[in-house]
This record gives sequence, structure tokens and C-alpha cells, in this order.
Amino acid sequence: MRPHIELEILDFSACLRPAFAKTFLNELLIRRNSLNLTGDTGQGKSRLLEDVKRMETSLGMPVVLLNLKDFRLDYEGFLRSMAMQLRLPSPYFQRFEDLLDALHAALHDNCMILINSLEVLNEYNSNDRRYDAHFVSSLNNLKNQSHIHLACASRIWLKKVVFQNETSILDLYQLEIRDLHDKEIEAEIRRYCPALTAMHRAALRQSVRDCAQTAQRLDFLLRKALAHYDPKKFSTQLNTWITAYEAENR
Amino acid sequence: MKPKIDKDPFEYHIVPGSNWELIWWAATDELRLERYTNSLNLNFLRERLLFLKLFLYLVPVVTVTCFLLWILGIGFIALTDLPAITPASIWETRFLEQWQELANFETKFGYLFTTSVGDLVFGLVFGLVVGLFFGLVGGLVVGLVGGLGVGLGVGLFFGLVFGLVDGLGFGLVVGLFFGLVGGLVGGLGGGLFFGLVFGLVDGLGVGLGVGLGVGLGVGLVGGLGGGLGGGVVWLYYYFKNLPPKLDDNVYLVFGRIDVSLLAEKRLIQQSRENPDLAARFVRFLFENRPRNHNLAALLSHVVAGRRWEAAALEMEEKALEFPDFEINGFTIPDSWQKQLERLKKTLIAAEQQTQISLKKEQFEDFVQELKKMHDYVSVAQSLTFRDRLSATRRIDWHIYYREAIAEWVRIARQQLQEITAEAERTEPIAANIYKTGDSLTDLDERVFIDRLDLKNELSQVLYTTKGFSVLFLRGQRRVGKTSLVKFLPLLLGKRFTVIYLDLQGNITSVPDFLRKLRTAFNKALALKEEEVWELPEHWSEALQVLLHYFAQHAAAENVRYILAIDEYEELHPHLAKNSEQGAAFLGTFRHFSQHQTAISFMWIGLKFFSELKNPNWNEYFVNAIPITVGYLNRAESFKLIGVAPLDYEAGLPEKIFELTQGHPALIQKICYGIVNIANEGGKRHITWSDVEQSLDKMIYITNNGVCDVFHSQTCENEVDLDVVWSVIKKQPIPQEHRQRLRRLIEYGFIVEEAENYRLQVPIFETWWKKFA
Repeated sequence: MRPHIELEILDFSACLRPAFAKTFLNELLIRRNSLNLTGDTGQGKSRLLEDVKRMETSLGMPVVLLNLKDFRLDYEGFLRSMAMQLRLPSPYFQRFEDLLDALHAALHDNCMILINSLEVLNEYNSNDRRYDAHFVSSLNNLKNQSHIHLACASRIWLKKVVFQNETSILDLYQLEIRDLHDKEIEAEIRRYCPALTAMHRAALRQSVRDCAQTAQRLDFLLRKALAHYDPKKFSTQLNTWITAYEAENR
Repeated sequence: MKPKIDKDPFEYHIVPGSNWELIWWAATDELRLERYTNSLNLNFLRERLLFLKLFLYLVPVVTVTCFLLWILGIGFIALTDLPAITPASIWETRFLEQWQELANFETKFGYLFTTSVGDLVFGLVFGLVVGLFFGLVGGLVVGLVGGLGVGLGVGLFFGLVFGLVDGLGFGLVVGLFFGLVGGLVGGLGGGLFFGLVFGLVDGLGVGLGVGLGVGLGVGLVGGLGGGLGGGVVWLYYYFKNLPPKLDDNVYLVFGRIDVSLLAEKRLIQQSRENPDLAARFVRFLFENRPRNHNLAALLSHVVAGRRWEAAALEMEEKALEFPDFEINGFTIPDSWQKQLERLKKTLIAAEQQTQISLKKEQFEDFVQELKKMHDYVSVAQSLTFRDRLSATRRIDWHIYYREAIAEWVRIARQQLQEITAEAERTEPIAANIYKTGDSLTDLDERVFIDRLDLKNELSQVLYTTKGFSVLFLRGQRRVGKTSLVKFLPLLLGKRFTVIYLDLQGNITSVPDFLRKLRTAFNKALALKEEEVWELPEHWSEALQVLLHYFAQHAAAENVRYILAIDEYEELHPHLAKNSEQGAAFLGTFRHFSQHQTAISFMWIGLKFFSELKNPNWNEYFVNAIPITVGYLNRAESFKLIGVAPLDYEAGLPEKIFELTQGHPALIQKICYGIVNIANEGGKRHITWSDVEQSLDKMIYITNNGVCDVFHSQTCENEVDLDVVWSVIKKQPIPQEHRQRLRRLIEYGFIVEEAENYRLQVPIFETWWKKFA
């Protein structure tokens, strides 16, 4: 038996990658695979998770979105944020295991936990020491609960978390974020900068596609366009913004 | 104040606003003059009368222009004292003698004026008469065009050439004439007039032609200097400040002009930027500029390419049209047209298809057709010698279609990717219910394979054991222990209640474990405790209290409780922190087992009790009943493979079984991949190549969740890795490694065959060779 979640009736129109968001939710909710969303920096992993978080109401379940980068020095902050988003009676926990207890006690319906920047676990020695093998075990515990849908995002498929003396295995199904399609770029431009002419939209689209960090670059250019768009000077403006982006992200 | 109304740059009226406009047309756009004349439908006499009327407008224009140029010419000679600064040999002796007697500019100018004015008048009259003659004979168009040209040319020629020929040598006079006229007209006028009109070629042409025609001193200097200077000034002005625009360029004004060499690049660029405007310009050229049809055809292709490109995003096949004309070097080959029709038909068919797998198939055809179209337009143009000389015809216009089709291919591929994902998501062939890593839950009933042997074994143990029983459910990782426990309630029926506690990442200490165990028990029995349980400090004491609590509540029901503790090894490090207390803790379990029957404990994990030391588990659970969760047998494997309603090629399930030896997680992963392939491809029939594809995607990857776990977790040290390598390479295993070998054999990863060893699952061996 499969859970009854009608993806087709959900509104994906505000998503940067509507079709891929559907695939993501299909894997997570219908096929019930715990996921590791992978993709290079700037490809739009964070945006996808944010898009899903925005659909919380229509999904009819709490959606927790946490970025490990924000909490890598603050383990308790991570737990607090998770607890608050899950609306647990008390948000104060010192151990993940305690939070899991509270979660099991309080929450019997479905919930979704999205953890971004999972690679942080492997990349910094200065992380809060409590991000250890127990933490990974707790994630494994989470994913084995049938009512909890866990998805983590990282640059590469993070099956092994290597701590100082031990390796922990996190068995998540890899879902690689695909390239941003032209139609999606076009829709995003129309959504955020409807004033842009068709010709300028095409120019913006061309300046973004095929580049690394497509989503990040698009976001940067759209913010610039929103603030400074001048139809008469657009081609010059675009070049200036691209140079600025490249300087910032060199 | 009236609002300013923008004039349509492509407006082409043929009724002049005034006679002066008509004269302007005569100078710039012969075709428009001709169309106007034709539209009047005049008879012979009326046309001549109209000509005469306009000719009278011309006379003062030509006269004043000639006079001014003539004054400038003689003024230049007088001012520069030309005869004195040039070699004497080129002047008439008589002229030089008279000239040397003249003291200043006024006298020199007066001398030149009086000697040549008569000839100027004669020339003017002659020129105008010739123009009049052309008009009367040839009609309005010929008359006006001729009147302007001949009137100016002949008037000046006679005025200057014959006016000065008396005093100067003929060669010099001709030189002077062309020098002056060329220098002044071609230089000043050419810079302003010819330059603006004809551009570099004509500007330089006039300047150079005139200058070279003179071949002498001033003529050369005037011609070259004026022509080049004027041309350069114009070029600078034209290219820097007034680049040719689609809606503001010389083609819109002049009928007999061709600046292809200079303007095409910019016009092409602008056509790419604004194809709609370019289309209007193209129409203008086709309708009104018969001499510029090459340019019109070229820009038509630019426009078409650009429109194709713009239509790619929405896949608008209606935009896929070639411009329809037959112009040498620009005509679309029939083969292109035919391929385009095929392409459009394929796209329409794909878009109209509602069945997702067929849609994908047809869309793949469409992508293939696009590629063929790309091949067609990638064939290089065959250029004739004349084509190569032409600025316009030598341009490779195929490139505009190549770029456009490349864009279509790109968007079509993205679309195909979406359709494939949709096919996989909507699962037109089979629902993908296989699991790729997570343990099975009650929602996965269809892929949980009833293990009859285990069920029977468990039932026998649980129904027949009278005393307290400790079960030890052991098996490799990813073999389905947790899944089995989750399905125990279904397997065992209503006389048993399973209380499940997963220790993985879930406990922080022994008291924490006990608290969680109590919570799980309460939850299963729907017990509510008003107060938080205060644990005694000593672990063993706390366990005693807890077990007593369990027994108390369990006795009330006619049910046996199984406390299933998954990943039990996680408890050991906490017990090992205080091995004395840990030992007492395990001792309490043993003691309890001998005194009650309502509760059974089921430890679930990978490691044998004998592997956990300080406290030594095996000392306390000697009576534990081991139940090994192994792989699926052949029939069970086939059942799992057959869950998805696919049509496997004969022998494939057997091959999958041989590769996996019934390893449930491997079969689930392989089948997951296969169902995806089936859904993506819209096919039910599965071949070996599909299995291989699935193996590559799901199994033969660095971290497949099964083999890598064996490699990095089960093989705990270098010796284990060496043992596995030795087994794979069929090398003898050193005596000191035998114990580790035995452990892997007991775990079931290695099997003994005669005097040899091998990895039980062939996939493990292949993976190991590739990634270990």
C-alpha cells in the first residue's frame, strides 16, 4: 500500500524546477525513499528545499528545513530549530536522541525533515563536537521511521561521514539535481521581473544557462534586474552584473 | 502643441509632397520617380510639360551650384598662386608672363574671373540645353536625372576647363579641373555628400579616381586629400555616430546604393536583435529596392533563424517556416523543405500523444529528426566564383539555421528529460514499490517476502518455549532483520505483541536506554504514567524495577510480549563504560529470564554475543536462541523479482538470483532500477541489457549501501580486507588470519567450497574488484 498523497493536485508553479520538485516529492513521499539530493554549489539545491518548505500547508505535514552551515557551531541551536519547526512542546534539547524521543511521543502523523549542506559534517574540524557518529546514527534512526520523510542535500553523495576515528554510513538514495531548463529559467524571470522584455529575457536566459551555479547566478541577476532594470541600457547592465557576479564568486 | 508622431521609417509614398521632393527623388530614388510618373498615367505631351515645369526649378539650382564651385576654383588658384609654386614647364609661357605681372590676389582673381566667366556661362547653357533635350526626348525620369547630372557636369566643365584653357596647358587644365572639382566636390562635397551617400567605396572612389585622373600636382593633392579626408571624416561620423540602423539607413533613401561590405555586419546583428523590425526592412527591400534583393534574402534568413530560435522555448512548430523566394545563392533546397515537414509532423504527433511512454518514444523520434535537420543545414554552401566576389552572397547564411536548430535540439532534450522523468514518476508500466535502502514498514507489504522458514522457526520457538526466552535475531547488515521484525505482528498473530525499540542513534546512556524501553512498552500497552519515572542510580537495580513493571502489566493480558531491541550492539559501549555495573545489568536479565514467561527479549544485530566483551554478553545469554536471518531462497527471490508485473526474458530471474544469491537488499535495488528503466522506456519486456543498466546504476557504484557497508564496517581491519582479497584471488590465507576468516564465514559473507573459499555473493566480488 502506498500513502495517499496526490502530487498532481499540488501547485508547483512557484518552484524553480517544478517537474524536478515533483520527482523529489514522489521519491520522498510516494516511494518513501530517504533522499540525498546532490549537486554542485549554486545549482539550486537550497532553492528546491525552500520550494518544498513553502508547500508545507498544501502537503499537510510539518516540513522542517535546516541548514547545517548555520548550525555547525551550534548543535543545540540545530535541535532547537528542528523542535520549533516540528512544534514540539519544548524546543530545548541537548541531544538528538532526546529530541527523537519527544518527536516519537508527540508526532504520529507524517512529517518531512530537510537538512541542507550535509557535507558540513565532513568538511570542518571546528564543528560542534556533538556532530559525531551518534548524530549520523540518529539520522539513520529518523529515516527508518515510516512517518518521517528525511532528505538531505549535499554537493556529493554523502554515504560516509568520516569523523576523527570512525566512519558512519548514512544510507540515502541519491537524487542528483538536474540542470536548470530554459523553460524554468524563463518562468523564473517572468515571475520575478515581469517588466523584462522578451528580448531581454532571452538575453538573461542565455547568460545563465550552461554556466556553473546556474540557480545562484540567476538569482543574483534577477535581484539586480529587479532593482536597476533599464530597458534602454539592459545589455550594458547585464554585462556589468555578470562581471560583478563573477568577481564576487571567483 | 501637437504630439509628435513617429514617422514610419519604411513608409514609401509615391506621391511627392512638393516639386522639390520630386527633384530629390530624381537625385536619389529613380524607381520612386518612375512609379510616380506611371501612377499619373500622363500622355506624351503632359509628361513633357511636367518636365519643363520641374526643369525650371532645376535651372537656378544648377546655375548657383556651378557658379559657386567655379568661384571657389579660381579663388583657390589665385590664393595659392599656383603657377608660381608649380614647375614652370607645365604652364603656357604667355600665361606665366601675364601671371607674373599680377601683383596680388585681387588682380589674379580678377584675371581668372574675366578670362573664364564667358565659358562658364556657355557651359551652363550648354549643359542645361542638353538636360532639356534629354527630358524632352526621354521623358520625365530621364530628363530630370539627366538634367541634374548633365547640367551640373557640363556647366562646370565648360566654365572651368575651357575658361582656363586659353591661358594654361590643356593637360594642366584638365588636371586642375579634376583636381579642383574632384578635390572640392569629391573632397568637400564627397565628404559631405558622396560620402554620406555612397560610403567608403564611393567616397574613396571619387577622391581617388579624380585625384589619379589628374595625375598631377594640385589635382593629385586635391583629389587624394579631399577624397581621403572627406571619406575618413565621413567614415568616422558614419560608423561612430550614425551606424546603419534597420530603420535608419541609406537603403531607405537611395535606390541605387550598395554598401553591403560595410553595413551588412551591423544589419545582420540588428536583425538578430530585432527580427520583427528586420522583417519590415526586408519587405521594404524586396518591394522597393530591386538592386538589393541579395541583402533582403540574406536578412530574411537571419530573421527566420532568429524566429526559429525564439520559438524553440515553447516548441512552436508554426514558426518553423523558410522564407519563400528564389534568389541565386539564397534559395532553400527542396531537401530542407521536406525534412522540415517531417520534423513538424513528428513534433505534432509527439505533442498529441497522451500515453506517456509512447509520447517519450515519439519525442525521441522528434529529437532524431531535429538532428537530421541540423545535418542538412550544416552542409557547407557551394559558392560560385561570382558568389565569392559578392559581399552578400559569400556570407554563410546556413549558420542562422544551424544555430536555431541547435537551440531546438537543446530545448527538445530538456523536454525529453522531463517526459522521461514524468514517465518514471507516473509509472505507466509498473509501480516502483521496491526499496532502495530504508527498511520495510507496514506500507511495504507487497515487497516483504514471507520467509516461511523463519516464520516457522520463530513460531516454534515462541509457542513452545515455556520459560522466559531470549532470542537472538542475527544477520548481515541490509539483509532484512529490521524489516522482518516490523512484520512480526503479521507473522505471529494476535497472541503476540511486539514492542520494537531501535537503538541506532537513539540512546545516550544505560538509563536512557531503560527509559526508552519503558516508554516503548507504555506506548504498546497504551499505558500512561502520571509522573516521570525516577530511575534508581544503579543500572541493575533500575533494570530490576523496569522488568518488574513489565511483568506486572504483562501478566494481566493473555498475550506474550516480545521486546525487540534492534541494533543491540549500540548498548554495549554504554555498558562497557562501567563493566562491573554492565555485568550486573546483564546478570539481571539472566535472572529475570528464569522467573517469568510473559515477556521475551529479542536482541537484533549483526555481531555475535561472543564478540562483545567487558561485559561479556555470551556469559549471560548462553541460553539465547539464535535465529539467523539469511538471504532469500530461490523461490522467495523469484517472488520478490516478480512483484513488479514485468515480462522478464527467459532466464533473467535466475541470473539475478545467481548474482545476488538472494540478498534481499541487492534484489530490491536491482529491481528498483529495472522498474525505472521499464517506466522510462514504456516497455514491459526486460532484457539482460536492462539488468546490466540497472546494475551499473544501482549496484556497481562506490556506495551502493550493501557492498560498501561490508567493506567499511563488517571488515573492521586490514586483516579482514586482506582475507577478502586472498579469497577473491584464490590465494592461501595465512594461519594467523584464520580466525578472521572464520568470522566472515560465520557472518555468511564467505563460503567454503572443497578446499577453497569464495565470496557468497558474486556481486560482492565484482564490486570489490572495482571499488575496494
